Amino acid sequence: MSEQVLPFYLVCDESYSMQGEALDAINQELPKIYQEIASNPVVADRARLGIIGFSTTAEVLLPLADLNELQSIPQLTPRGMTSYGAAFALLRQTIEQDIKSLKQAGHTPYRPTVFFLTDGQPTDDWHAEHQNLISPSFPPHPTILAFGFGEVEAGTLQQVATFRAFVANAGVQPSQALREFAKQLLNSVVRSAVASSSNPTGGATMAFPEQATGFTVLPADPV
Amino acid sequence: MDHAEEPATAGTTPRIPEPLIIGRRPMLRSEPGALPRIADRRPDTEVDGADLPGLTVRAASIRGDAHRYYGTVRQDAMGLWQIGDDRLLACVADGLGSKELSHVGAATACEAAYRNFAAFLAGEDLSHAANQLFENISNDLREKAHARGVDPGDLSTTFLAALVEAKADTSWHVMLLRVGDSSAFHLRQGEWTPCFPEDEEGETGQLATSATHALPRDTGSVDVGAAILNPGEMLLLCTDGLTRPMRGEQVRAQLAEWWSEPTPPSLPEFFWQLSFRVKTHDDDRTAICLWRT
Repeated sequence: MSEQVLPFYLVCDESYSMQGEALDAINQELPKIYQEIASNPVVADRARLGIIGFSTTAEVLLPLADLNELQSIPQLTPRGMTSYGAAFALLRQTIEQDIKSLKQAGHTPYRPTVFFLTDGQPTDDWHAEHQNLISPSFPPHPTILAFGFGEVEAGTLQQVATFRAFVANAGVQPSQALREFAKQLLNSVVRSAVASSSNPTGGATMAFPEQATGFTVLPADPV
Repeated sequence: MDHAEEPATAGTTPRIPEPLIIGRRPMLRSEPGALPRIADRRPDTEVDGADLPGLTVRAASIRGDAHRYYGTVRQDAMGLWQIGDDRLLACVADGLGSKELSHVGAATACEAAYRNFAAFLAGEDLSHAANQLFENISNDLREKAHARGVDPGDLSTTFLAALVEAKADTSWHVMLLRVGDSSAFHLRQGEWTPCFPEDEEGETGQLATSATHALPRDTGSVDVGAAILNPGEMLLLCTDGLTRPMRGEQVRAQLAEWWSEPTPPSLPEFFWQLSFRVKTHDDDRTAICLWRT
């Protein structure tokens, strides 16, 4: 009742190219993220993390979860192409429903933060779905941080992001990149929770990563 | 919660219950943790009160459970003064969380309000006098910052003052002045009414935000409010550590129930009441309740 909720979404590429080292790393890191969040009660009380996997289609692997009610953490599996459009469409639908449910339950949600992770260029035309998601006419439009490694182009990541994009540097191993990504996601959740538990200056409640080891930071450039 | 009817005697001491949990049980515990390791640390809680002719005051400024967990200092402050024979000055302040010395700022702002109040009362034009008061408070903050060799922004704090004019046998007028998101509410017949017009809007479709004006920077953003206090009514001043959980209907109802009793609570009981717990509402919480009896 009237809880202040910080919603976070991990939107993760599950295309065939992610098979092996990349998805293994993410699957290893996810339980650790949840464990870390659970170990800090200030964070655990207010942060909720949901997971969407996308390849040819997109699916909600873990609905926006309250740590108290979490049963088990899903595994990501490689299964198809790379449809950004499917991801953004599902994300918009999911966010809309989740924010509505939170409000109906009497809670006060903050603007959702999305950590988008991909290793390749999209295999579809995704701009319409992306626009629907980030448009100011969609009231709970999320803040998107885009992380990429492998074949994805920096420019694409910049278009996806609304705040910042992170491109893995050449020569960085996928598992390294993924571990750093997981660390940034966790830091953002924890620092945002801490910041929102007392008055910050000028409205900057959420804490977003400013840099990531092995990544180059780029400004967002949504189309 | 029943009032004890008689003083406790040996062998019959009542146990104080844990603070009331409203809604889901928080994972965060409600207990002091490490002491803040700073020279000018403040105690976990301040409790204050007064029983004056026709007026009962209960006040408490409580360290939030998040600050207790992290061992960081309470950044809320409050002040309570009688001015002349028939005026009461009450103030609450909420130091900005991200500012290292905001606990000093909050306390300084309250003291500065008292020091500068004579000048305020002597002012001709309310709007001008109010702005001047906040300028004076801000100057005191800047001086303090300068003396410590820090940026004035490091002492940033919200601030709310209430001046009660207690003239016998009439409606009492209360003038309210604030910069930032502290609030005032009027309790009458179990119903809460915000005293600032800016606070009157209902919950919109918007998402939560934590933006707030603060001193010493935002002296141009003074809100003025007013209230009338009749016998049997109560005025609540509070920082947003209380305003936020009060967005929940259950919290408003519980506070209204406790604070609409024929007699106001004792000081220990008030501290217990204000210590209620709501999941995610772990910020410092300061409230001054003024009952016209």
